[in-house]
Amino acid sequence: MPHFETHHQEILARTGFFVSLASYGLFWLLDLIHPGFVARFFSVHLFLLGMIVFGIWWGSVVEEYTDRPKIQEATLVLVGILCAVLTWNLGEMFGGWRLIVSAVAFVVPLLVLRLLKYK
Amino acid sequence: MSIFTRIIQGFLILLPIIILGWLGVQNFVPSGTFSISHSVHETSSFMDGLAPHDRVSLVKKDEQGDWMQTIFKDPVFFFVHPHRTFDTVDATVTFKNNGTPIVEFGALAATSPDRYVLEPLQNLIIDESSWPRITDGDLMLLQRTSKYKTVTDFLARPPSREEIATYQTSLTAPFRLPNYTASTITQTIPVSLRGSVSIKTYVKNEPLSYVFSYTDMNRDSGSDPVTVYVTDETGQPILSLGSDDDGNTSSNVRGSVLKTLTIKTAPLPEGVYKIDLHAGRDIFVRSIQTTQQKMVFLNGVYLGDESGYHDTFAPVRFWTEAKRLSMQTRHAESVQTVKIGSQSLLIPAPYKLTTTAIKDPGLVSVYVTKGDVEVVTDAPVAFSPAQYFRPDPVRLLPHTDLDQLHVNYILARYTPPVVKDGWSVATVHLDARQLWLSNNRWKFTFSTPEIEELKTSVDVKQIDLVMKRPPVSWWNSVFQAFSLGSGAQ
Repeated sequence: MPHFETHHQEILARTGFFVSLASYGLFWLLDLIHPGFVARFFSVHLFLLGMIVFGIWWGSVVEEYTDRPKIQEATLVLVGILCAVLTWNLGEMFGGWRLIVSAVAFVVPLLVLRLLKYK
Repeated sequence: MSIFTRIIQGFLILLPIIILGWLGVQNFVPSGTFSISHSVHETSSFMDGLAPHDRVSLVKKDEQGDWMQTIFKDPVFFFVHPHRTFDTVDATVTFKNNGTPIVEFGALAATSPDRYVLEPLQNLIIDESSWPRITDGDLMLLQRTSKYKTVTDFLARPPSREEIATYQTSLTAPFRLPNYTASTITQTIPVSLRGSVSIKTYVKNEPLSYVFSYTDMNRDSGSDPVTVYVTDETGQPILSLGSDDDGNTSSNVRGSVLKTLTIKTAPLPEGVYKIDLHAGRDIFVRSIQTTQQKMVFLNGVYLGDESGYHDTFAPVRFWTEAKRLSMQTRHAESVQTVKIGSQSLLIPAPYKLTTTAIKDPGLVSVYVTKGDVEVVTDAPVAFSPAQYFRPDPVRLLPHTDLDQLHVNYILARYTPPVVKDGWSVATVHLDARQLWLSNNRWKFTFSTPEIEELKTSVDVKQIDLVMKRPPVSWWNSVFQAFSLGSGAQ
């Protein structure tokens, strides 16, 4: 069993993360263009699982990183909008609470980042 | 960086490329062959489960631990969602037949009216017959007493048609009526027939002449075009013509004026011709005028009501050699007792299909006093004894009494299933280009006539499909898939 140094683990985790991210986008796009292209054979969200697994691994072994707060904030806003829209579209069950729950969904990514960064 | 890290990194990058290639092969089917193997307990994005649920059991394990689902009512169907167009489908069904005389498998080929292509999985009447048999390819001849040495010999010098029953095939020798002479006298059949009708008529060097007078009663919303197809005895089309809707597509129950659809040809060679009139349930044929002397309706008739056309329904009498007759009405006012030869049949309530075996020999008259009766028979129907003729031999059905009908030969296009591990396995070959593809799906069906009446069942374990199309180059596949948009191409 080969032993991997932390640096090598970081390389593998980063590669796995970006490959999963690119694959997720590509295969999801293919499924949108040609419905069933991927989904008939397996769930495209397997690549999301890969992103999460490699992301956690990368986060646990990373030794040095550059903080880019502006990119983070822009990403947070985009992900927040996505969460709010999804919650609104799927949240008919919330009735009168739908708007409030969607607003909470908008700030959830911000809260998650805060918890991760300032634990 | 170590070599292992490099190898694993390369593998991570290569993996989605391999997956993409594999998906490409699965989606574009460049080899031309795509297979689906489906056990009844599995879910599949290509094949739905058996339906409807009140005709099949839940999926369960049998005593040997095999997953299976039991069919106990007829018909049972399921949908298949192909991702490409295919030319052929070979369906291999693994099943156990618990006494059902005829088990067939096929698919919907046309709608309005629905038409299914059905192929045999198992015919227990043939399998369990003690008659000696000879085979030639997929043709099988059973003889009460051995007379013919080969099937070819039988086809070349067949006995009288009355002695023959057929299953999934027909005789090659054309039907001819001796002593028939053409006539120019027009006969009128004043009967209300609802929806589609299939007619066989005899022509001998005379024009084919039919005038269908009909009304569109506009009881259901939607347009009601009427189309007529005429084919000769080899199945070749002779003509087709149609008529558009009356312009009223609502369901306001306002009947149209009497419209006519006329078939008139030049003199045609002698033979049996088939007329298929395709129409929805709003169309009521009110009379048929013809110079043809022989005319029979296939598989029964739907005697329509005369509401909105005439004040009272004129009783109808028709004749048939059927040995089994089923009747149903949809209206409480049409509950009645129907006289069938020396027997009678009670239609007890709306939507209650009632069936009887006809004991009287030969041509039997059926007298119906109230309209809106769907009649299903196993022999043709005519509206006068003189018009009756039987162009096709007896069809082998679960209830066919070979002794009563004096049948001495069964000609079948049938290959019995093979038995593997206690299960019967049969393969059905279908022309996919003839199947009805709607909403990107095919409707496959199991046909098990009289299964409920006989209290038998069929256990289904597995359905495997092998779909084929001509092999194509990669580039063409990709181009076709993405230039023609989504969905199966």
